[in-house]
Amino acid sequence: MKQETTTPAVPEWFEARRKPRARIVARWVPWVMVGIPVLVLLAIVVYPTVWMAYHAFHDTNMMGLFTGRYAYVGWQNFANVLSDPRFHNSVVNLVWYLTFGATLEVLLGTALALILYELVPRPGLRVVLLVAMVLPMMLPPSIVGVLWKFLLQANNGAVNHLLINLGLMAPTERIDWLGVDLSLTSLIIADVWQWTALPLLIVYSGRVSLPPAVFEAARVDGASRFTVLRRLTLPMLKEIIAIAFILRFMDAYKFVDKVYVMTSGGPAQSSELPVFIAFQKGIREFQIGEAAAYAWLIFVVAAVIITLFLQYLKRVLKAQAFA
Amino acid sequence: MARVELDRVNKIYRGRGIEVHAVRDLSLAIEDGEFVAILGPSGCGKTSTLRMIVGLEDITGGEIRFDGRRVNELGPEARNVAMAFETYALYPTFTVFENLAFPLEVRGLERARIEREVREIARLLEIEDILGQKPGQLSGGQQQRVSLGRALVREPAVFILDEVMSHLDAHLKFRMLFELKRLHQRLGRTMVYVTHDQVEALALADRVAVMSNAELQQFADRDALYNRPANRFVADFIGEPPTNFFDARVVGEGGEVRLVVNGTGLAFRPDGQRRAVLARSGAREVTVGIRPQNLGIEPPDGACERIEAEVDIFEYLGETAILALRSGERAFRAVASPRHRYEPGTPLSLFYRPRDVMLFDPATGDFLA
Ligand SMILES: Nc1ncnc2c1ncn2[C@@H]1O[C@H](COP(=O)(O)OP(=O)(O)OP(=O)(O)O)[C@@H](O)[C@H]1O
Ligand SMILES: [Mg+2]
Repeated sequence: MKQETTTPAVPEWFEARRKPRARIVARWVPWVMVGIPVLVLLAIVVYPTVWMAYHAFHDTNMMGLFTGRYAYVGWQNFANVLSDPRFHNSVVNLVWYLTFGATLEVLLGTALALILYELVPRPGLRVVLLVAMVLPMMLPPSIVGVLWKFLLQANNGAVNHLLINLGLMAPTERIDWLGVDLSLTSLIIADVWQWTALPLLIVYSGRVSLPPAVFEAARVDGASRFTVLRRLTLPMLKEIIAIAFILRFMDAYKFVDKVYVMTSGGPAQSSELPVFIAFQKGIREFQIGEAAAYAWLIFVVAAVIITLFLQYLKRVLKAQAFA
Repeated sequence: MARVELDRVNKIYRGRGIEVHAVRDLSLAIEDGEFVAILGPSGCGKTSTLRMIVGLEDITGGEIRFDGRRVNELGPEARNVAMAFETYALYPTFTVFENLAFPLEVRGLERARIEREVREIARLLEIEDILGQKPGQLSGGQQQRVSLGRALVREPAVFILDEVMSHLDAHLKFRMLFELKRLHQRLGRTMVYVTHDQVEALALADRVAVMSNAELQQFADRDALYNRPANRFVADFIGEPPTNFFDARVVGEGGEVRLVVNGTGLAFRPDGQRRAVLARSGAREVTVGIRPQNLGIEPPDGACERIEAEVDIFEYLGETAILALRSGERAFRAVASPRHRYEPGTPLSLFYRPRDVMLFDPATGDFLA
């Protein structure tokens, strides 16, 4: 009698894959696939960082770079930067820019998102408004810079014209938007115009995903709209708003494109930011050593701030039992 | 304090191309201070009804009145109702204490009073030990009690409670039902309690509204629901195990009327009152309903009749036992004492009182007698 063959529990094609020698690809393929990105990262991130760290302690300039002659100067570059009034001025500008720019964007974005959600009843209209508000974000920052530079011209700018036509200003008067007093404010205006939509989108989607039953319960409990906003909506959105702020903060910290296009840091360094100075020193004046010191200072401060942010996020996620 | 009237209330949900008629022509008059349960299977429109009473849902048709005053256009904040949600809907950023305190806080009560009331309700619901925790850290049953507590901490005109005991274990549920009943007696406020558990509904409520398929089937006290169910659905839904139904022919005349169950050797004899109803209607076919509790192995006191059947399964439940019986092709059930075991296949005589035989119209399912 023929012996009964037992069917294998695992299909053959699966077995084949499990055999140690049966490889899908050759042995070198994974090495190459991981190797290429690693090499690229080494070339464009690790090498420049180390190179920069090295030159931060040397008096490298354009000549030195080509001839290979530069001397070790210790912490001299850092001392120069830290004692430079131009640097102090740029830090003050940055703080203004962060407090008024990033903060204003998040506050405005949050307010608009909640207004959109609570006060615009028709979903179709909501989507149209949302798209309209997101449009500026889709323009390249340099284009936005050029656009606002034109709008804010003192003599022929549309903004001054508008103010005159609205009767808010005498026809002979001119506001010098890009002058010493207002250049930083103008940058902030342009940036807020472009980026408010990001916190808006983030907070809006956060609000949409909050459970409606909680708000129904609050209505039944007799809470006023303002109480609901203050005690429930905002606390429930706190983490989302913080994330929106972190995103805007990180972007604002390295803000350079509109400065370059609109004011070039001027007039009289009134709108200069640290990143822009580093860019000027390094790429324009070829003071490689000092630019490297700038870059390192910026990097270290950024690292500290980001670490604090991440720590906050981790605590939040843990409190919500996600992590 | 409020008398709540629902007058031919309808709810239709309209979505992309589909329409759900969730509540159809529902009329209820709930007296001031009454404890009413709404009972029905899942999806029959209980929550929709509550949401219309509270004011969270538009009323598609009909009118809801509180103390005779139309409230259709009022929002929940203007109706002075408290609601415990089926999904709990706890405030996630608040502690349990803050959750319970919120309804009092927005009413501007002073701190000490809030503290006292919250502790009192927490003691009642046995959640004092978790007052400092956030809802996310609680078990389902704990969250459910917090949600119940948030509704009970206020003294509104009407309490609306939507399946507030579904996640509690049997012991805890028993204690909570007792506390709720006591609270109702003390406050004397109108309460509407939704459940699909008939034990809860019958234990708590003065009157029970039985719903099925978006419609009210019967609104009555437990005695009427049990002995004079409005239709076959109510007779089936109320009582555990469910009522036995038989399609029968009416055979004989006058005092000799028998209801012969098709396809079996079973025949029931109704009492005089039921015979009169049958004679008046002239029906030749009826649906006979008899509760398993009313089919006994020992003859009851007073007049009784008997039927013969065969034991199929003997199911032991502790305090009682359920006999699954068979006569020909027809299976049915009886409740027996657990003292005696019956082997499958044992022939058995069962006794019933003629007045326990319920008659239903076989076409509409309406109660005849
Ligand atoms: N927002 C809604 N949109 C569309 N249909 C809905 C909505 N809410 C409920 N329904 C439908 O209405 C019907 C009744 O729902 P409802 O929630 O009132 O039932 P229920 O009796 O409370 O059931 P359960 O015991 O499961 O809670 C269901 O068929 C449901 O699908
Ligand atoms: Mg429900």
